Amino acid sequence: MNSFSSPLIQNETDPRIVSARRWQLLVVLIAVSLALTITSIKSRGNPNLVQSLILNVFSPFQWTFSSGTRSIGGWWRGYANLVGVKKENEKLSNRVRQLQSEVNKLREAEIKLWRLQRLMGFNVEKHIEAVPAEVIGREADNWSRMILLNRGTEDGVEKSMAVITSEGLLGRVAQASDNKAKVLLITDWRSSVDSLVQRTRARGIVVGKSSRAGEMRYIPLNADVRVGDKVLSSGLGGVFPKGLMVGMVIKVTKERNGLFQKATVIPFVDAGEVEEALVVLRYGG
Amino acid sequence: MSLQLYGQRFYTGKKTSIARIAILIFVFALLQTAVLGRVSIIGIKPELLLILACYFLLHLPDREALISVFILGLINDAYSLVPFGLTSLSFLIIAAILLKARDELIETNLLTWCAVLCGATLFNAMLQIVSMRLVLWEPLPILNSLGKHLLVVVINVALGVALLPILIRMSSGPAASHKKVGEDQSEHLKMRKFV
Repeated sequence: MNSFSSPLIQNETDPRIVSARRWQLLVVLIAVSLALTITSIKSRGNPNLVQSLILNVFSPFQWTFSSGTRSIGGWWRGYANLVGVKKENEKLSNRVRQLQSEVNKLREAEIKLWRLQRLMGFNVEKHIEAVPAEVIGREADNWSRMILLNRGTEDGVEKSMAVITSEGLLGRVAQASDNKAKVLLITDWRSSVDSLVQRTRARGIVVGKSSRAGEMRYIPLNADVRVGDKVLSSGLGGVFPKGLMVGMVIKVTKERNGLFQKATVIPFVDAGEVEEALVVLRYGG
Repeated sequence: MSLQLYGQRFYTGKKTSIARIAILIFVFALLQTAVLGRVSIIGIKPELLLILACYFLLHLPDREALISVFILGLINDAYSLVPFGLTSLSFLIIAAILLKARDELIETNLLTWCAVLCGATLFNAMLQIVSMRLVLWEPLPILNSLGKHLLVVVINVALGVALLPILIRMSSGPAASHKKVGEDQSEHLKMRKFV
């Protein structure tokens, strides 16, 4: 130690003081973290000021970043798709003609169904009022399966609202701040959706496993469920509208002495690829 | 990148500018939340923020390291559905262990870096599982999560090794990255003797 150094410099280099300062700071930061955690648990996950601040600081850049990667991805996909596009075009033209005739038939069937439903006193249409949102971020850890949307309470988005895409069900709003919302995906281990198999109307609950696939549980043992069956939301529980596509059965497991069977379900919506989604504000007749 | 870089002592006691630290945090957070979410392998992705936290804890002076790690934890929490502050708490407990260990690590080599990443990933996973089970009563499937985290360990270690030269360059500047092995060890040893 230099004998000419001032007491202030000595303090800064004295290992005992440095060590004491380290532990003091560590204790303070741990206390702050603990306080934040307790506050978060007490407020049932509603975003606090610090959380909103972090999201607000990052979201403009994130939006730019996401748009950038999206446009690069889009450009690359566009280039790759150019190969063989002429053949594809011819195929699609034929398919459009086929589908056109099917649409006409279905329209007729729809009108007939509408008339019958009216006769039987059912609600004729299930209106869905939704707000479109862009995906601006994804989870940072391996514990949650979530996405961050650029819509929040200012746009009418509230906790527990269903989030859908054109392919089907994506998840539900877990947290909503002024202009952002965190969506708990149906693949998250905390998610469960009351569902039914489209072909046989067999009931079950699709739970997330925090991986690509989910699991449909509590299907009665005698219910007919096969690989390739489509699974829809049942509408029970009041969170998700009835009839939304949840996924497709890829494996059925029957337990020897169990009361139920299980099915592995691959969601129709690939959360990794989703860029836009609809938040369902209201639904029903 | 030469092996000399890997043989360099991580903690040189040399200060890194706040701007460099902020840029690193910012870039890593953006990469984690905007890019890595799209490229996960069977639902698993590397934990860039944890890798950066480990690096800061081994490389930066105490105050900068602790505050950076605290901020990294909060960012992680903001982009997650675990209670806000939980990851930050977990990172700080890892910090307490690593800072104590850093005093004993005179020279850090590639193996130590791998061990630190491996230990930090598993420890973080364990802390999160325990806290979610005990505090929140969340039915996190323990075996499934631990099995998954073994894969996360492999991914984190591989990425951490690949990122190490970049991190050293970005946080220390060009002059420090060319520093030879053991150049300022004498000062550190004096400090240890003094303690």
